[in-house]
Amino acid sequence: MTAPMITVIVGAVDRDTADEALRGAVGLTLRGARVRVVLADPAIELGPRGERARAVLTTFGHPVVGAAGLADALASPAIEVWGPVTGPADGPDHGRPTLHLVRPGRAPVAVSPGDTVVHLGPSLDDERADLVLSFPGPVAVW
Amino acid sequence: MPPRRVLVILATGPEAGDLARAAALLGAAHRRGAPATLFAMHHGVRALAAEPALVRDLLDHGDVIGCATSADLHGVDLAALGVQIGSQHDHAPRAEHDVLVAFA
Repeated sequence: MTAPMITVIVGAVDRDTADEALRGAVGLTLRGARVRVVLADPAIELGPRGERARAVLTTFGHPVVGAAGLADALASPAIEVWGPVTGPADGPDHGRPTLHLVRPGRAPVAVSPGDTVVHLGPSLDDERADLVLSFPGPVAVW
Repeated sequence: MPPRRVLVILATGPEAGDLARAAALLGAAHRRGAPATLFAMHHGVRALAAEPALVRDLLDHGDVIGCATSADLHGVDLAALGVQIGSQHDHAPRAEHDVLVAFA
């Protein structure tokens, strides 16, 4: 059993939420996953909890990078997106499709050729839920 | 191959409406016989507290776990909701074939 690679993308969120995203990123490592955090919004401020979490991540070899890392973020087999993210609409081909679930008022970032984009309503109908569960690649919720 | 395990992360509050979307995923996983877990953290524990009837339904479809630290911070009684009291350890997927869907 191989540990997964997970990318955490942190967008335009308040400081408490940014801190939680970083704390959560530490949590994601606790079963052996490799984690990469992309601080996609240049205006992100971390509080003491977030800075501690960043230090823990980097100490154990989990990179925390800036917005320049966004282009490759979707190459990861698992993705966690916190808050609205602004970036290039199109992304490189990673050789594996990503399913983009887009909530009202949001837009996906770095969509590659072959990806699937689904715009969500208030809920997920059965067809879309089954698509999520059977999709062969990662799922990014924007 | 057995159905993939589904891990749904919920970190948004009730105003985001993501609990209903997460519930749809757990329901679909249940129909497929796939093990499913909903892990709520940050404002996600408030979303659970706002929809106790939906949470009771979710308990029939998979594991529902709340981050104890977030619950304490937001004054949410996870046990009263029937939700397992968990930690960040429950945030972590167990294997690369898990389906991870994060509403954050």
